[in-house]
Amino acid sequence: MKKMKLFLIVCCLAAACKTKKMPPAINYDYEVESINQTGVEGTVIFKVWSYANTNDGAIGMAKYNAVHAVLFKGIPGTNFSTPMVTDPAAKSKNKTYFDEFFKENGQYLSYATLSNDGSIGLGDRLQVGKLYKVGVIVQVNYSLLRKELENKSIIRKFGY
Amino acid sequence: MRIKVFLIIIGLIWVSHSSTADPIKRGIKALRKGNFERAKENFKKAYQKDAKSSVTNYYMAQYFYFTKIDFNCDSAYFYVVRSENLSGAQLLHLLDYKLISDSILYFKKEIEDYAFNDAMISKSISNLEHYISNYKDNSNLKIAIKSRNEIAYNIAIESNKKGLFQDFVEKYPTATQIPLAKEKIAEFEFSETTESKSLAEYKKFRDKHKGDSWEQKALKGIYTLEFDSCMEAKNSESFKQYIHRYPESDLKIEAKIKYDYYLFEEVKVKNNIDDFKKFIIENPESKYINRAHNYIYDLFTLNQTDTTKLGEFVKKFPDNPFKNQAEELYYNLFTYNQASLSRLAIYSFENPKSRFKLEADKIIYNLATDSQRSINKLAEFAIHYPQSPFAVKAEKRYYDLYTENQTSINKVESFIGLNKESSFLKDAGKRLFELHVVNCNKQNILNYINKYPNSKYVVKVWKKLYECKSETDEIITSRIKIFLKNKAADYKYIDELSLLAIDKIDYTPIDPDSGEVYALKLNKSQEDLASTTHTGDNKINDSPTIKKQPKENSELIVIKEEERKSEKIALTPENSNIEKPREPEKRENDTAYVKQNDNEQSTPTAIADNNLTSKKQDKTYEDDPSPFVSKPTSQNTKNTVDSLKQNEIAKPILEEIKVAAVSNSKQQSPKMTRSASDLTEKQVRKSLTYALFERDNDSYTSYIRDGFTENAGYVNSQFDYVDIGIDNSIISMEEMVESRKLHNSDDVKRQFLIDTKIPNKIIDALFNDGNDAWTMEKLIEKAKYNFSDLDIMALKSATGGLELGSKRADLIEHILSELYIVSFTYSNVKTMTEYYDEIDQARYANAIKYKTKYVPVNRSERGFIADRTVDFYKIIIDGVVLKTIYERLYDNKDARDSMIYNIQLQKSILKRVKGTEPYPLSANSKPATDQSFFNYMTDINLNQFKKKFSKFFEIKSVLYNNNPLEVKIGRKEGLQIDDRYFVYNLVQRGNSISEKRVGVIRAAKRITDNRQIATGDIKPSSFYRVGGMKTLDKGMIVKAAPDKGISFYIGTGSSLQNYKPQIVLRASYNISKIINLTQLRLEMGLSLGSVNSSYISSLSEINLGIRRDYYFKTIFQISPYIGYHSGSLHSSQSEKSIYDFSGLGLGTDFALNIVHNVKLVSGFCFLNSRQYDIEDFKAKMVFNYSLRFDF
Repeated sequence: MKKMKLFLIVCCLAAACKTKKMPPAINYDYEVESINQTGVEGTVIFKVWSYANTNDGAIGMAKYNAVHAVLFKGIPGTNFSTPMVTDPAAKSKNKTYFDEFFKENGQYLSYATLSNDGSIGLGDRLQVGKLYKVGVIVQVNYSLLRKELENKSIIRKFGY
Repeated sequence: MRIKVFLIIIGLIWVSHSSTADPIKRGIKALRKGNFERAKENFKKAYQKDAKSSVTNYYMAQYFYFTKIDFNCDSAYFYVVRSENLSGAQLLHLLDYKLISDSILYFKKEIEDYAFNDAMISKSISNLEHYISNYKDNSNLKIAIKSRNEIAYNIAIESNKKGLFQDFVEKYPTATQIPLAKEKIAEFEFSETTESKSLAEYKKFRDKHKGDSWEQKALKGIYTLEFDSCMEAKNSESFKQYIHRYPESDLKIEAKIKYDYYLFEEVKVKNNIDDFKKFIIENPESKYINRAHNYIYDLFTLNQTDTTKLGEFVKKFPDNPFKNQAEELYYNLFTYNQASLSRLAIYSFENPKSRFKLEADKIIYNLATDSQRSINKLAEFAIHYPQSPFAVKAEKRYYDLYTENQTSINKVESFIGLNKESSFLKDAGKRLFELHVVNCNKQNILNYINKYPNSKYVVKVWKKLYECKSETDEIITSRIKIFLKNKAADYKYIDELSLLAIDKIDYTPIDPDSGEVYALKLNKSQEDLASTTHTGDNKINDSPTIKKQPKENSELIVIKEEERKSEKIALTPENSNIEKPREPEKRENDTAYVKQNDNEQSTPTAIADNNLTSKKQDKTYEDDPSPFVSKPTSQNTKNTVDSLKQNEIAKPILEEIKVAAVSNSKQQSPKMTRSASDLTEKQVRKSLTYALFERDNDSYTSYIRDGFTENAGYVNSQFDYVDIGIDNSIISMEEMVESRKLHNSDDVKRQFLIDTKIPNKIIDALFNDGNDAWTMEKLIEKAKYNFSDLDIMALKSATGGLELGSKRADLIEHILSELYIVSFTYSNVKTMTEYYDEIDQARYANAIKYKTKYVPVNRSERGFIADRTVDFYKIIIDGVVLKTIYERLYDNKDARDSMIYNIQLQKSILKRVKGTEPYPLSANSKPATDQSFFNYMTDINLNQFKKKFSKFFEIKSVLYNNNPLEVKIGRKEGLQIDDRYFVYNLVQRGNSISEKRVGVIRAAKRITDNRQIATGDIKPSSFYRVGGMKTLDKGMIVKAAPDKGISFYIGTGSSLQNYKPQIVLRASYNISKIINLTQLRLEMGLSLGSVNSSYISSLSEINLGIRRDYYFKTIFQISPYIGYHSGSLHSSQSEKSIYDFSGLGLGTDFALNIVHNVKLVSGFCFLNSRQYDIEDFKAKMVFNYSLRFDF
């Protein structure tokens, strides 16, 4: 009986000592890279390199980063090299909107799709220090996104 | 007679009586006779009678000196000294005794000598002392004193006692040894002082010996004692005092060291940066300075863990020796080991004096410009990193790439139009001029004049036009004339031109305002004139085109200034036929001109573009501005970096400094750059083409050619074959050697492949539709099969997907990036008979040479043997070649034919090949033909090269899914069940990427048959894990690592009974590919063991069975087994088998992976028949422990 108790205690201790899996840390550092492909009309297709402390975390950030890049950075090497939101103050002026837009499972998700089903190409997953740098090809619906921002009067419509 | 006798007797008696009446004489007489008693008696009498008599004293001395019984040297000396006091009477008296004064002196000397010798011989201090004290005033006295001193000193030395030396000093103060004696005394005293270890004693000693040599010794002792006391105190203050008090101390340096040490230790305890700094300032020569710096470094940077602090440290402590270390660490940490472009940019900006700035700038340059391969990125770099030392280089590279090394008029024009603030604008302007006037192409020259009337080369270009024109060319003559007339006011160099215009020109006045006269004149030769007009397409990125104008539009040739002013865009298809050059002064009304006024090289095209751009900037986001629209400034960079910083702190979003693309997308050349991911190879199916180098004069040439023809075209499913026709694939070596005048060599072969246009034929075969026209259809068909599913998935999102019709740079790049030529060269072709003859000849020669037995070769084969060289060449298709294919070759057959592609030898493998059959043949066999031998010899089974050129055959993909493990490869890649693959993690450090193996996987039963057109929907093949502990993630690299499927076990065993297996040997072979069940193995084994029994000695057992491995938790394995066992027991007496057993054995192994191919195995096997009842032998259950090696 004593041995049984001892065994149970050891098991409990072992369970308690088990490493707790840390939730993936969000890293907003990312890079975008144009690819030799042109998206279907109204869309832009490019590769976004996201950083996270897990592989899935980096893939999960791809859509966020892609939409963010289209809005605020532009995609060098494509026709969309100029960011959609050119006014530097627009972001702070519409903070509430963008907070809502970019929240978890936010609206931004409806404007981006992972073009190859989220699968990672050869050499597109790198470990950089403790971070994972994952490149995913993302297609962003530029037209719809633009229309949305125009409707919200965040950016000006064409012709004005 | 008697009387005579009597008288004689009386006389004699008298005489004798009279002579003895003097006691001295009697004494002398007695002394001479040896009657010392009598002599003494007489001399005493005489002495009593006259004690002062010299004679008496003399003879008394004689008595004491010469008598044996009363010998007394001292007494003798006493008396002889007394006898020296001679008066005049005494002297006369001496004469009575036949003595003279010298006699006394001689005698005295004799006594003295005797006494001296006696004392010296005795070597006794007392004797010498006695002599010295008693025998004064003699010549030996000094010697005696010296001798005494020596003896006394030697005694003191020998006894080595302080007292003796002290006595010596006291007793013999004049002795020559006194200093030595005193030294010895001091030595004793110092020794006593030393022993006492008392500072007071030392000081006392020093006081006593002030000024002598012992003072220093005493001081040394004092220094030591004081130093020791400081050491006991263990603080810097005591040492400081010590140094102050004893500046002459020989321990001063040591004290200083200790002072530094304790001071540093005290500072260390405080653990404060300020204290360390103070320490450094106050003790600049301390050897702990470096450590103090180190402490500052550690404290300030929190042991190098705080990146920000590291950066501050570098700036705040520029003189710290760890600054460089900190700088390097800061550089690495801050820039994520040079992996982040944005961080590198911030670093470079914020640390202008850093020694890593240049390196950072270089990495930024490489990262931001895709290693200078991307035109767009080079332009972006030049704009956004104006302070970079590579900015000019980038701009130059951009300039070269964009203008195709300044060889294209259109590109140079476009460059000038787009890059108005480029540093190379001047150069481009000059180059544009040169390109226009080269070869005297009038059309080009006129174009230039039309387009750039205000160019600074206007004089030169008109000159050139004049030089190039024919005498009958009236149109041009007229134009020159008009130019001279109308521009006379504007151009100060008119005289110069006038000289050139010469007298052949008719100077007909023309109204400069209307210019219509000219227009009318032109009408007569409209066709000619039209050929010189420029459409002026405002699409700056399209090549300017020269179009003939319809006759009815001739009026439009003249553009009045008013009309021009109304036009914002200078050159449109409708108004661009400029004949009348614009006048500079009128440009002031044109804002675009005003802006460009200072720039001599402003062009209408550029101005038009500027207008267009300024409009577009207001209206649309889709049209990209020119990269050099705004001149980059340091402020730009600062703003960018500030924004980066701000974002990083406030909202951790790092804006990469990758900005707007260079130019209008229509102008933009196809991107031929390779991304960071291209640092690893792409997974593109390799396309092969075979080529045969043959010898015309070889008797077997036709056989080889036919054999090659028979086998050509066969490739593994892993590769794709590009057929260029068998005739094109066979190359004559004679022709090659002849043409090159060289012997056969790899480089010649390579060059000949290029010369014979084999690469051209291969590429043509990929595009050619059969009618010498290139289309994408054929290529796309190939791509559909060759592309991986992942590529297809990505392409689906692109415009047109894989639809036909348009030129697709990405497709071209994909397919052309892996083109190979595999050439075969056969040499030394011999029959087997010739081959055997050669061997026999060599053996025979050796046998004779070494006097050994000649053994002829076994002629067991018939056929042919040859040396075959297989060369793998890769066709080098880089960005420039791709661009050429894309832009020039696609529609131009001549250009395609004249294109020269470079190829590179990847691997050359020389191997002896045979085409034989057994000899002699069996009776019923039919002999093979010679051609069939060659067909066999020229068989191209690429798998035979796998070992020697593994990289070529490497199958590579990514982990598509990690749970369950899935990879998008299949039958197309030759995947079979249980094929082994290694999984690699790509680790990036700076610019370098390395592979790190993290796991081992094997193909499971579900293998996808992907030998079809890739659709993007093909299911991945499943895998299971057999090694490695680390987590496998999606996207990790998967590479084939083929193994033989053989395993060897070696170990021992045990049983619960009296059987002890000694050696257990097993071997197994993976038969999963036959049975289609993973890790199913055919196993055979041998066990040898001993039996603890009186009758049975040993047991031997063999087994054959089936085992299956089940892996779980990646490193553990259970392997159940079933098999047939057969064994025998051997007698201990006769070694004969006394009992045989056999039966079905069941068991299992439990294994633990040590490394992926070495396992620690423990298991058991149950065999019911393993018992022998007579001897009570039972070993039904046997355990084994072994190591397993997988190959």
